[in-house]
Amino acid sequence: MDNQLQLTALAKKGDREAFLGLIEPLEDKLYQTALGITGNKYDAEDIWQNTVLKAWKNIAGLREPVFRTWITRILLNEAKQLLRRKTPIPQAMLPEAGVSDADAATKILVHSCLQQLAPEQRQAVLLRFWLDLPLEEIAGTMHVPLSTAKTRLYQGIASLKLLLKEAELV
Amino acid sequence: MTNDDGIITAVLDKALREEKPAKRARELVPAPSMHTGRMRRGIALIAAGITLCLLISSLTVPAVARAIGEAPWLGDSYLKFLTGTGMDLAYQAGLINELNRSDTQDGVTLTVLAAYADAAQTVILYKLSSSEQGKIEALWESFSIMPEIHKPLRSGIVPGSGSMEFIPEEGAAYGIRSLDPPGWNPFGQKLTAEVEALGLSVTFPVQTIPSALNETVKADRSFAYEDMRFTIIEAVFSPSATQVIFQIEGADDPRANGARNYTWSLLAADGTELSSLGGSLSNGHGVLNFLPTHSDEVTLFFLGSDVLYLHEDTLPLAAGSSTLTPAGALTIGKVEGTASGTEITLVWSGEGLLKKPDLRLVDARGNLGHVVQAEMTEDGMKLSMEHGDLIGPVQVQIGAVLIGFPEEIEAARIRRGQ
Repeated sequence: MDNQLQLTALAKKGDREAFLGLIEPLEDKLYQTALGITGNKYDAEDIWQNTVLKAWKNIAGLREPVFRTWITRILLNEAKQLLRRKTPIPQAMLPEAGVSDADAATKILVHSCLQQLAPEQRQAVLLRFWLDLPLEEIAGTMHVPLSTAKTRLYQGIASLKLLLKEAELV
Repeated sequence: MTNDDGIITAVLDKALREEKPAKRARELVPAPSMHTGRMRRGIALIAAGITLCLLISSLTVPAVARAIGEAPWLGDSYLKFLTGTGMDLAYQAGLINELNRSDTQDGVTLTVLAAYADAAQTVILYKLSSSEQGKIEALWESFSIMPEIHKPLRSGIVPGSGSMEFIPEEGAAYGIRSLDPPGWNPFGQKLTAEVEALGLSVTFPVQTIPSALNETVKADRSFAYEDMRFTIIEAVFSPSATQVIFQIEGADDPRANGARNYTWSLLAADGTELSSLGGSLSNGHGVLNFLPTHSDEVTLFFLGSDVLYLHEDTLPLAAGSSTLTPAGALTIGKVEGTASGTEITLVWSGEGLLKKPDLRLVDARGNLGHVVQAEMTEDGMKLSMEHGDLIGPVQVQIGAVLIGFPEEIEAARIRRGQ
């Protein structure tokens, strides 16, 4: 944690390496979260790139004590703006070459289930189970009261379990 | 962690674990001497995109824009933003009253300008402003500042949709929230608009329109489309919108491996088309919202569907490159350089009409080029791509194609005052 505070202080002064020191441990998970939200690699890449650039531009104004919460908030905002601009048609993932049929089918089904959740529930589930954020941090990241975060998360869990069961994934 | 929690983590792991971004943070964060220029360009593109959407929406309803000019307490910028939303007609009818309830924290003010409910929707008009120059713009770029609307006694958040627009000349952001039918009567109740991140909270009453000003007319008309049956259930005529409720039963086209979008049109008795305000479709139950009308009869037309075919492929950026999608072949006809990028002509040889390909350019370093304009042609589409310098062999990455299947079915003719 001391190292995080030092890196944050340096990054706020424009230290590129310090900023990268904060973001690089999170980059795979952040990109994967964007992918879970959109179900689309191209949109996820757009969101990820815009998040990094906006975070770098605004790091000097960081007041949030936890960098992870702050940058996740930017990512969710970018996702919201992109989804607002695009035709609201859910998309499922397609398999890549070299991936077995069974793995590919599972990926498609999981993304399809995620896309059937309401956007706020999908985000809450990903923040909890993919980014391992505690409820308080989920609430702070999504700008909602703790009770709202709990409701979204628990409803998301219940809906996702049903969908996974229908898809015979569990 | 419960056993169920472990299950969710395990399935997410299967879907996400191996996925990596194409560009790492280290490649994206520019060296200090270059980063200011890139940020400005990015913001300029976003601002241009927003301005373009605003311009398009105002051009579609010129008569409404003139009428809105008579609402001085909303301000010129806000009125331009609201053009084409239907709220202008409700205002002209004297149904919207100025509220102007506000809260200020740390130099930022949230003002709820008006709150209105009729049988079709509940609409909140609001504004975020600051006396400190640049403050709203900085917040706008950093994170979401769209207010959430809470039910009375903070018993839950009201779901809905909305949009915000930052007006640089005023340094303020305007917004409109349209709330899903609440399932409770908002009359006499108070809602709360909150921007949690800024500590802003405004409680306000909702002005509810007398039920006599709304009219619900049963339709009970059905038609068949492919293997599905559409039933138009009813229409709601309110001062802010004309709403049509419908239902779909039956199996979707098995070819559609992505998703399908249906297209509708609503005409007044004199043949004028009522602009769409959006809609929703969930579990076979659909809601369509159009601009309000005084017409004593409206006719709903079903205009077919757009089907999204997911198809991932990468082609060389060269005339003659081709890919076979589930619905037909997509071929690059011509490639021409332009001042800001590249113009690509696509030829579609398949069922339906090519309406929108989901594609981008990528060079050897992973730099991207995006579609900024698309124009349908007789046999395909002409795309204007914008990008910086692209180095090395440039490829076209395709993710999906949106194909239109036009139809024209008179779905229902609905007469009021029955």
